[in-house]
Amino acid sequence: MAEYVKFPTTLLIADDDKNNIDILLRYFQNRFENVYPAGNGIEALEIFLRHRPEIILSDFQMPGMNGLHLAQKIKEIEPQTQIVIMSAFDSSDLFVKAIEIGVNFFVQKPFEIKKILQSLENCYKNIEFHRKLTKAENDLKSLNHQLEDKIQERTDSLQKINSQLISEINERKLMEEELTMAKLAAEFANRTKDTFLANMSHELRTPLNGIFGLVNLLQKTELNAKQSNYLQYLQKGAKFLLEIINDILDISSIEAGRFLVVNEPFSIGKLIDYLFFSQSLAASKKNLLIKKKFDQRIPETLVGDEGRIRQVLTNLLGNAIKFSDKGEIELGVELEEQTQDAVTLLFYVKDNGIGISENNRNKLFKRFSQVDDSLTRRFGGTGLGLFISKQLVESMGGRIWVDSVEGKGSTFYFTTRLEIPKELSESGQSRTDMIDSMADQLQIRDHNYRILIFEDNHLSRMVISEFFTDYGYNVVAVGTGREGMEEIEKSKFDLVIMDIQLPDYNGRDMTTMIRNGNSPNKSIPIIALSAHSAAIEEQMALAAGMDGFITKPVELPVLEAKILGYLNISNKHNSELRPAAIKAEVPPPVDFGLLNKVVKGKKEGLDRYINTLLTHYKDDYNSLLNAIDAKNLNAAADFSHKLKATFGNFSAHKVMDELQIIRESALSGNIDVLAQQKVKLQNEVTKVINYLNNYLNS
Amino acid sequence: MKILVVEDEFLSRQILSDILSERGKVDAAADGLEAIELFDSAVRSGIPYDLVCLDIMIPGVDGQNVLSHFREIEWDNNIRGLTGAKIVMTTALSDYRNISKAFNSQCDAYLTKPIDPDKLEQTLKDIELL
Repeated sequence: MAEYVKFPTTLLIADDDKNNIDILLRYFQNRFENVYPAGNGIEALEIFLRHRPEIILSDFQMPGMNGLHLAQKIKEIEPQTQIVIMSAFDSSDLFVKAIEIGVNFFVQKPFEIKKILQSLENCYKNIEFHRKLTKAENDLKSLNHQLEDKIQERTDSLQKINSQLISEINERKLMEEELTMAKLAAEFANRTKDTFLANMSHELRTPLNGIFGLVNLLQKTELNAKQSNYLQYLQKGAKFLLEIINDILDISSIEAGRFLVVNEPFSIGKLIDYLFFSQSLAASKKNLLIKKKFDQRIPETLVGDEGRIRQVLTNLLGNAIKFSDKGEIELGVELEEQTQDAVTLLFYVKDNGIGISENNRNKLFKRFSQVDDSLTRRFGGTGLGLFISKQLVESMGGRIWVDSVEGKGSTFYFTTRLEIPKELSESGQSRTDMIDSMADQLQIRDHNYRILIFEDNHLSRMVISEFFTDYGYNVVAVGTGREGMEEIEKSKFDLVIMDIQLPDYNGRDMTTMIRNGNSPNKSIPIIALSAHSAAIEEQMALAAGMDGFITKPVELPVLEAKILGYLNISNKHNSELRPAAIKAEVPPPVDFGLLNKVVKGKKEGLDRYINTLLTHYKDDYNSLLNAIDAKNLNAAADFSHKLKATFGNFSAHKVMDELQIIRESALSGNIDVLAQQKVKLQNEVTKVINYLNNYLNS
Repeated sequence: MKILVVEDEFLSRQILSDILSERGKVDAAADGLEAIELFDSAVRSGIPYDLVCLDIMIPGVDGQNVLSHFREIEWDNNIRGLTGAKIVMTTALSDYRNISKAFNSQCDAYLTKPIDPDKLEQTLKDIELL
């Protein structure tokens, strides 16, 4: 046995024959890690329980517990134990039973050591195989665990990210909702403010109009020096008040972002001339001299917002005159930069007035700040002029600033970029030209025009009719729409002046009635006179079929000049063509673009849709009005949404806007707004319906 | 092509029906219940709708729920995946919630009113109906 393999496992040998044990021990003692001998089955079981050998080599015939019993017990305790039974195996029953129990190998007695060794080797192979299997299983299990751990880790971190994301999304949504709410609230507030300002301006301008008118009339009567003097103060006061109101309205429209910059061709030279002449009179009263400097390199015609530039320069000149007691004021414009299609101009107004300290210079362009309260008392004013000027200049993409030495004078500068028109045509008539031509027209007096005046304010009615009578017009003045309609039916007039707000009808509805009626005055020029200056009012008036829009208070000579203008146009043109020619600039309240796509431009198709609208809109419309009256918020929200879709097909944006406000007010339970909106909606819907009716008839 | 227009507002209903009548036979429903009945009987008859234009704010059952009902009816009748009707939401509501809800309920496209015929045509191309 020079070379033998040592099995890394343990062996139990059970035999009641001491000789056999000795032989077996001698052969196998050194081939196993440990070999335990046992003299009978019971002893073998005890050893097994204590040492857990992996291989059992047992005799079958033993006293007390035979080999098969032992094998059975051991297999119950540890099924993987390898068992070799040595026996004569004289009965096949025994053999079958041994197999059933799970005995691994059999050795025929009397045994040959070689056979036993083979069986034990096989036992060891089984053990080894089983060990490997177990190890693989364990490895697999631990890998599995590791994987599970990793997956869990991943899942955890994903869940964490996910919940972070969800909470972020929720936060976003919340913020979005809050923003939307804030936006809605702000829009409501803004609209309320706009309405308030529009109403205030109306309330303020109406009495002011009366004052202006009466002053004009009074000045034409015989007055003594004292009376004439008082009257001048009165006029000055009224003008100043108007200036303040206009400043405040300017501020509100700047803040509402509704400051539109117009781009029209005009002449800088003429503008400077106009400012020079118009301010020289005021300056001369304080013994001040205005000088003008004009850079000859500046192109004759430029494109920009002449009105805004004039407003800024008038303000700067006004300040210069106000704060100077001696010397001269210089109004100038220089060409700072010129490219192929634009110029940058530098305007300046220089005075020798009181000047502004460095500290005060920063405050200058802020709201409601004059440099010194004591100066406010001395010089008056709202303190808004420079703030407005700054906003105006910046809205035109320019910059405004001041250089000043206290006690020596100030120079205000501003820049603006103006475009050079592509074709230097003379077609664009500038506002300075208009003023010239207006003055010319004032001289025309040899006519006998019949005009009808609708004005509910007693004072204004008296002033206007007396004024026009004085100028040789044949005037009929009425205070209500009903009276006016009677006059319209009765006889032919040349022109109608109509206050927009009459006690019984509004001026736009009156216009629609006149245009749709059969009186001799069906296509008479109708001029709106309104204390509302908002652009929207003007558009509404023109959309209703009016020909012109004049804001109160108006100086009567100016009103007369404008009216003469309309009378001339109306005389020159065929009276049937005239309204269309003037109305061409008014945007229609609807747009057929979408529907024309649907009907592929076929007029019958479009007409059919218009007819459908006119026939059916009233169901939902009346339901909406009733819902508003009944304060039924849900119904109001639903019907406004539905009507919005209806009018949306005609792109009637104003109606849609009003409907949207109604829906939002209804959803947020704002009943007060609903009632106001109802009136606005009715106005807009009437306009659209009138327009569509006219369209079908034309 | 078999088309269903679900729209309670008279003018939009007429306009949509007119535009789509070039593409096939158009049925119209003015409320949610009527729409579900029409859709259900079309599926049962074996000739389901190819295209549905569906408003959201409609009486009876609102359009979002109508959409879910439509997809349930299709599921119950073994119409699944991309084989179902193409459903285009046609509504004036354009808020995030309504749009995402409609797509979650498996609408195919979402158009806001007023309906632009060019956009509608492009949409029908996008969802491969044209």
